[in-house]
Amino acid sequence: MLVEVALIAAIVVPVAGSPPVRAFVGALPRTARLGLILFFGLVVYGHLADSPYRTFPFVVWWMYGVEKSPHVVEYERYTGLTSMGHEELLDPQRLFPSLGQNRISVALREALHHVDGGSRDRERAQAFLLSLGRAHNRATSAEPLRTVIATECRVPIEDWDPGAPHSCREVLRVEIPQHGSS
Amino acid sequence: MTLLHAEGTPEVRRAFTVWICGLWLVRLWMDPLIDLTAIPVSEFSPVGPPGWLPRALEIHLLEPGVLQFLWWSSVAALVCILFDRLTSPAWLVAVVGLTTIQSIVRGFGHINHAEVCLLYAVYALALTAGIERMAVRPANAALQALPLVMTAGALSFTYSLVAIYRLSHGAPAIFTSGSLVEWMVESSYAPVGWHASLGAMAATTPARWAVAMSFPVVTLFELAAPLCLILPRFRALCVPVLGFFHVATALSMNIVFWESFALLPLLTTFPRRFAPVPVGSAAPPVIFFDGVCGLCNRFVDYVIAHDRLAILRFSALQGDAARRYLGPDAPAEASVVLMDEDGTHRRSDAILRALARLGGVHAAARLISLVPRALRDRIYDEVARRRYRIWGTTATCRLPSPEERVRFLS
Repeated sequence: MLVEVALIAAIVVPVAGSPPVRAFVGALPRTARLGLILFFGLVVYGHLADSPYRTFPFVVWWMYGVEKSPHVVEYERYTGLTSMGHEELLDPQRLFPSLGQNRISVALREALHHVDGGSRDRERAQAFLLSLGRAHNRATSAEPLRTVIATECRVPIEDWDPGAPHSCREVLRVEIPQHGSS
Repeated sequence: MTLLHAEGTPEVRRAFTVWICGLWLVRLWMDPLIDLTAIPVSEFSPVGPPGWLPRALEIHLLEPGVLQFLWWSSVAALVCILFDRLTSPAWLVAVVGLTTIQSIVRGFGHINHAEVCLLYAVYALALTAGIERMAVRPANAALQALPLVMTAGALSFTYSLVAIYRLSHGAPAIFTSGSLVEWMVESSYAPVGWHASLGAMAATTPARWAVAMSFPVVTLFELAAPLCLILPRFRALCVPVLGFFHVATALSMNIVFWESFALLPLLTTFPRRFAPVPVGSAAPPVIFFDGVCGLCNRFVDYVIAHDRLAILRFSALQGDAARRYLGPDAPAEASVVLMDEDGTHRRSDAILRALARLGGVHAAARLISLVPRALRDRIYDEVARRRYRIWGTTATCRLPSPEERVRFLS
C-alpha cells in the first residue's frame, strides 16, 4: 500500500502542481473544483480500497498485475449435443452479449472450478450450463440441444507444444429438460 | 507548458458530448440486457451502489420489465442529450441508468474495466452541465473545458494506476516470469468467436522475447501517461505506444478495450479540430451552389438555418458573382463549391467543410472527412448525377428573402 501511495503521489504531484493545471483549476467555479477533487479522490480510493464489488464504478486497476501462477494454461470448451448426436460448440459471449468482454467466461470458469466443492457449487455450475443450452435453443431454429458438456483443458506451459493434443477432461454434463418433461 | 484542452469552447464540448453519447449508444446496442433474464437470479449480485440494496429488492433488477426500463430510459436520455432537449434531467437519468446497467452486467462474478472510463466521461459531462445550470454567470472557458480535461485526466490516470498496481504487486517477477506470454497463449484458446490467435503463434517464435521485453516498456509509458496532459513531446510518443498496446492486445489476447481506445484521441489535440474556425477581417467563406437544383437549394436553406453566426455567404453558380470569383472555368457540372481562406473546395470537400463551419454536432463532418476523398467523391458524384431526377429543379435561380439578401452575393 505504501509503495502504491508513493507512486501515485510521484505521478499526481508533478502534474497537479504544474502551473497550467493550477491555473486551470483556479479558473473553475468553486463547485467544479470540489467536484473535480471529489472525483479523483474517489478514483484513488477505489483503487487503494481493492474492493471493486463495493466501490464500483471506482475500481482497482489490476489488469495483468500479478505473476500468473501456476504456470498452466487453462481453458474451457462448452459443447452442446442434440438428440441426433450432433455436436455444437457454444460461445458463451455470443449467447449472452451483455456479458461479453470475458464477463460470462470468467463467471463460468469460476463456477466450474468449484464444481467438486459441494452441492451448492455444483448446482451453480449446472445452472450456468443450463442457461447456455437454453439460450442457444432460443437463438437457433435448428435442432435443439439436449445436453451441454463443459470440458476443461490444462496445458503445462513448460512443456507447451502448440501441435500436441491437450489434456482435457469433461467436468460437467447437464441435460436440458424438454417441453412437456419435468 | 500548457494544459491539454484548457481552452474550452462550446463547440468542442458539444462535439465531445456527441462522441461520448454515440459511444454509449453503440455500447447499449451491443448489450441488449434482456439476455440476462436467462441466467439464474441466484448467481446475480450487482456491484457498487445497486449492490447496497436489500437482497429482496436486488433480485428484481433482473426482471425483464426493469431491464427494459433501464435500457430504454438510458437510450432516451442519451438521445435527448444529443438533440439538446431536457438536458438536465437527461444527464441525471444517463448517470443513474448507465451506472446501474454497468453494475448489473458485472453482477455475475467478474468486474472488468472496459466501460469504466466511458462512464467517467458521462460523470464529467453531467457534473459540468449541473454546475452550469446552478451558476449565475455563463460558463467560462475553464468550465467549458472541464469535461475534456477531467476525462483525459481520468483516462491517463487509470493507465497510470494499472502500471502502479503492476509495479507494486507484481514486479519484478511479472516481467521476468513470462506471464504475459502465458496469458497470450491462454487467450488464444478462447472458446469460439472472433479472435486472431496471434498470441499462440507469437509464443512459438522469437517474437515472444520482443513481447516479454515490451511489457515493462509499455508499463513505464502507462505509468507516465498523465504527463500527456502537460507535455506535448511526451504525448507524441506515449499516445502511439498506448494505441499500439490496445491493437496488440486485441490481436494477441482477444481483449478489445475499444471503449478506452476510442477515448485515446482525448490525449491528443485532436478535439481542437472541432473548435470553430476564427473569422477574421478577410472575405467570408462563400458557398456557390447550383441555383436551379432542388437538393442544392435545400442544402443552402439548411446551412442558413444553422449558421447562427451568419458566417457563410452564398451565390448561385449560374450568377455573375460565381464567374467573378471562380473565373470563366467555373465548373458547370458542380452542384456545390466552397471558397474560403484555404482556397476553393469542390464536391464532398465543399459539403463537409461548409457543415463543419456550423459548429456543434455538425463538427462530426470533420470525422467524415477522414474517409478517403476518392470514396467520398464517388458517393457525391452518384448523388449529384441523380439530383435533378430525385429532388427536382426550379425554373429560375433561387431568390433570397429580404432577410437573407445581405448574405447573398449579387
